[in-house]
Order: sequence, then structure tokens, then C-alpha cells
Amino acid sequence: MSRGVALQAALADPRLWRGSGAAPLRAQATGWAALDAVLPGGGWPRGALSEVLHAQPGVGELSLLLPLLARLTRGGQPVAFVSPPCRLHAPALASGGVALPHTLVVQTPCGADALWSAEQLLHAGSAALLLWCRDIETTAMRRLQLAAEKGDGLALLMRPLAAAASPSVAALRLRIERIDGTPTVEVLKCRGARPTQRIALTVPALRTPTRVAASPARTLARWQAGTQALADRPTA
Amino acid sequence: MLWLCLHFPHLPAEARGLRDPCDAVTDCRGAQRWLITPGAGLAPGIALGDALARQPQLRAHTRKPAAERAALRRLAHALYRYGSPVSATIEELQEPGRAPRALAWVEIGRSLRLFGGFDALRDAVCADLAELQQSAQLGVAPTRDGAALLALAGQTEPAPDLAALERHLSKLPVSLLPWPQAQIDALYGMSLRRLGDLFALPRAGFARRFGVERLHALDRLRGRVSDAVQAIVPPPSFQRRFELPGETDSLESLLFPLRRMSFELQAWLRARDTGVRSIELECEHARRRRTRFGLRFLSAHRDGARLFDALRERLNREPLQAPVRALRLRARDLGTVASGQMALFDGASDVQLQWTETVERLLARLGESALWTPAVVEDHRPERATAMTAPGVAPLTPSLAPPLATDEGERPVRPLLLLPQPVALPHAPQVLDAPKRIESGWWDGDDARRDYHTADWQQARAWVFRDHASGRWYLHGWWS
Repeated sequence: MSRGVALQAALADPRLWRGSGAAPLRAQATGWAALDAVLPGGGWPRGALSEVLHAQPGVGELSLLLPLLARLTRGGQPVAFVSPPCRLHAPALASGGVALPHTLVVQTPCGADALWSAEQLLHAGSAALLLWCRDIETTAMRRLQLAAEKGDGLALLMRPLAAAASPSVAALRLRIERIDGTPTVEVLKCRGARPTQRIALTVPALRTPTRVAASPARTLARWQAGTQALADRPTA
Repeated sequence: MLWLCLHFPHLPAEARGLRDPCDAVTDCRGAQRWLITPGAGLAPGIALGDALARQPQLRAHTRKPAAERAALRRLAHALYRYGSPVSATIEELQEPGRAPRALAWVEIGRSLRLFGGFDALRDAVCADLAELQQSAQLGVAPTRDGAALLALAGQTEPAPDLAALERHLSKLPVSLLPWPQAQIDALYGMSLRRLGDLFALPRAGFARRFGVERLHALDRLRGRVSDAVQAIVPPPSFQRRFELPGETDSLESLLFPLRRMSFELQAWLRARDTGVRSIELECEHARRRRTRFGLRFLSAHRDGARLFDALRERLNREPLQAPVRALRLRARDLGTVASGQMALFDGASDVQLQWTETVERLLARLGESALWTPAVVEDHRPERATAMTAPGVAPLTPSLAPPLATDEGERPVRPLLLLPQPVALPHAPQVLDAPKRIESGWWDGDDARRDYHTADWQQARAWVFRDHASGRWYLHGWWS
């Protein structure tokens, strides 16, 4: 192998951090175009742990994930929710485009059992796994990361905002907050790109809760139209 | 015909669940007791008094013939998948110093091609015995008695035809024959030490001296006369009781019997060509108290490791209430196993199986109520609109059905997270939109007349309602 080829192979390794370089990352599109544009690889990193930090339920954290869940389940891939804080409402999930037979809810108190279940399900090839966890140790996060790598799935950890200060092994950390009634996503950390880059995103489909999107594509179209309208308006 | 014979030298100990090398089983006749299984480094056949003088740490146990017969029958069932007929017997040699012979036969002549030759079949049998944690010696010959003698002599090389069998047998000592000791001593006295010496004798003289029965036995051995086989067929239901050597409350010591019973169930299921959907484990305690554990599987299967995994997780979940004396395993619900269609391009069926097994393991550990798959119920009351169905083993194929909500105007808009119970609010919230009324259930006693609003509550978007009956405000969900 010539030296040039070896260098190219080394540069292609996603573990190599190159400042602003765009190392190829395998990712699943989030379904929100503006967010995808910012994230390295164009979405949630596959085979890795991601965090969604939110203050409490009801700030739009599930809607952020809904397009992803809809696409995965409609592709026949299993999706699991482990220890959700409230009961999931099936009609809302269904109208969000999620194919319910491919979902699994593990209703267990957040703790050792929840972590064990999450790890097992990731090992078994869960395409996306949402785990709500208040306190989680670094070793447990590493185990989740390894399980996600093995099963090549997405481990999504839903954590309280207070966890933003502590260091994390997650490949991607997003913070979602409601500012002036609008859910706003902020990228705190992402592997494969400049971690200092912070972009606030609005998720306008949620601004008026009169409609939950029927399908991700339609939501996306409406959202893009909305941003266009916002951009055109001088006072927006 | 080609018979595969298995000799189980440790069966009396294994039937009693003894695994320690210091344990030995004894047989008795009158006041005489002697070892019939090896223990503490002593060979079987030694009188108990001598054995204790040599190895004081030896623990002697009496035989349990009924348990031995049951154990042998189960092993015969396990052999049933290799051919038919299957037969088994325990030859009792009740003279002091001789051990009983537990033997099982299966006719493999017609199965050799199916299993890919003798070596492959022998490997499969050995793997099965290893799963059952059963020690055995193996012999193959065209006659049952011949195969048994080869197994007893530890001759693993198969005798494919009668000529080869006679060649092999000629070298074996006459002491292997299940004849009375006095007769064998007489043979030695006449310097007839090997079976070949017996075969060379004139038939008429042999019959006169030792009896026609013995001549017939030799003829059966060499395949000159046919012998009748009493075939064993697995019963239509499975129930297995395992008596523990002593009371125990540690899970670790239950794992061995659980593993063993799981693989016995697997053998029975394979022999019957069926699968199991649910099993029941019963733990017997002192004073006839029992604890029952039911286990349900998502699909019918016959995998011993999967059965064992589920049983272990189930016992891990709940601590045992009392020390256990015996275990009983039953197969409750049988069903045909979906034959594994091999995928041509990818391992989709593997992934599916792994997912199913994992969900079963979770069910066993967390309980059946902890795992569910949401489904939509056509009811206007939000708390009734979600059904918690049993975790499905949805086929991992893309669904072709159109999206559920193609027409947005018809389906009501609902929040993603719902509280299990509506929570009363201390004061009226700041509502953001016009009310949506839900009025339903006057016919089934769960009357609901509510006006739902969206409201800001603690920096989050909440779904609240005002109950018409009481006029109070409640929090019911989150627009998550």
C-alpha cells in the first residue's frame, strides 16, 4: 500500500478528529432539514450514543425524534422506549406516522433494570432506543455506547438539563428548550465537527399545537415553507 | 439393521442428582453392600466396608430403581430423533460385586444418510449428551447385544456388518457377558477366556454343557437369530420432576437441574417434532407448599438454551420464599414451530430471532405487565385510546399499509405523552386556544364531559381540561 493510500485510509477513520474536517460519519437523518445541515454526517450518528437534554416533559423532545421514529418503524425496524416518564399516547404516535406494531415500551422504574433492558435491546438490534434516565453513571453510558456500536443502532438518552454541565461520552448532545413558546434545539457537542459550533434551531411545527404532523415529509415541507415565510418577513 | 448402543455407567448416581465425586451409589443383597458407581477414586464392585476403609470421606447412597428407569426412559426419548425403533433396559446382575447395566439402543442404519454419515451422527449424539450433561459409552453393531458388548468394552470403532462384529467380539473377554458369575468362573476354569473361544466350540457340546439358552444368547449376539425389540415412543405430554439431593435456597444450585430439564424438554420436543409456547415451573417446599412460575414464549420453539435463559431470568426476578426440595417442569401449550425459511440475501431471520429472544428475556425478568406495544383504540376518551397489547413479534418487514392519518382533518390532534391519571391543578391555567369538547362514556359508567385546552404550565406545553361535573382543572398530558 502506498503512503498516500494509507493516509487517506487514516483520514477516513471516523475516530480521527480533524478540527473542521468532515470525516465521513454514518448517520440517520433527523427529519428536520436545518438540524441535519448542522450535524456532521447529516443526522443522528449511527452505532453511537446521543443525548437529548430537556428540563421536563413537554418541551418538544419527542417531536424532535418523531420523524426518525416514523421512518425507522415504517421501514420495519424495531424501536424501543425504556422507562418513559408518562404513558405514551398511541393515537398521537400513529398520527405522527409511527408504525405501532414495531414499537416496544419497557415500563420499568429508571434504574438497573432499565439500563439492563436498554443494553439487551440494543444488542438485539433495536434500530433506535429511547432511554429516560435521571442519574446515569459514566460506566453505564459507556456500556450503552458499546451496545449501540454492536447492534449498530441509535441509543438516545433523554436526560435532565442539569446533566449538561457534566462531561459525557455521547457522540452527540442536543439541548431542547422552549423559548417564547418555541422549542429550540442547541447542539452542545457533536463528534466529527467543531464542538464550539452552536446553532439554535426552531421547530415551528410545534409552535401551534393545533396539528401534529401527519407524516415527516409533509411536516418537513410545511416547515421549509414556514422558514421561507419567516425569512421573507422583515420583522421575524 | 445397525444399532447404536449407549451405556450409561453413572446412571444410578445421575438419576439421584449426585454430582460430587465423593458420592457413590450402592446396591445390596442381604447384608452385603457394594458400590455400583465409581466414587472417591474407587472402581465399582468394591464392597462398601472395604471402600469406607480405604476412603473414609466416601458418601454412600442407596439405589433408586424407579428414578433410574425414569432417567433411562428420558434418555431414550432424547435418542428418538436419531432413528427408530428405540429401546432401553437396565440389566440387573444382582450378584455381589456387579453393577447394573443401563443400556439404550437406537437403530441408525436408515438415518445415516440423513445425518451425513456415521461420524456426523456420532458427533450429533455426543453434542446432545453434552447438553444433557450425561456421560455415556457408545458402541455400534448390527445386533443389539453385540452393540451393547462393544459399548461396555469401550470399543468405539463401529462394526458395520456381521463379519466385522464377529471379529471385534472374538477379542472381548467372556466376563463382559451378562451371565451368572458361577458360569463365567466355569468358563475361565476351562480356559475359555475370550468370546472367540466360545464361538469356536462345537454347538451341540456347548448346548449340552451350558444350556440351550446360552447358545441362543451367543446366536443373538452374532445375529444368527433375530431378537424382539420393545420400542419406546415419547409420551404425548411432558412432565419432569427433579428431586434435589437436599433442600436449597440458592439459585446457583438450582441452575444445574434447570439446565438439565430444559434440554430434556428440548429433546422431547425434537422427538415429537413440536414446539412449546408456555411452560410451568413448580418449586416444591416443605409441608407440601408449592410455588408456581408460568412462562410464556412469543413463538413456539424447541430451543433448550432459550428455555433455560427464560427460567433463570424468571427465578432471578423473585427471590425464593422457602428452601426448595424438588422442581417440576411441565410443557403447557404446544404448537408447531415455524420452520425457519432461510433468507437468500441477508440475515433478517437471525435478527428477528435475536429480537424475539431478547424480548422474552425481558418479559421473564421484568414481568409481563412491564412490556407492551401500544395500539390505537377507537375511543374519544384519551385515557382509553391506548391499548397495551402484548409485545408483538411484528415481522421485520416494511409495512405496506398507507399511513394511518392520511386525512389530517379527521383524526383529532393529541399530545404524545399522557399522564396515567389526570392531576388536579391548584388554579385555572392560562389557556392558549379554544376548547375542544370530549363528551363520551355515559353508557358505560365512566362518564366524561371535558373541555380540553392547551396551556403553558411550568415552561412546558400542557394539555389541560376542565371537568364539567366538578368545574375543576386537571393536567392530562404534555405536548412533547
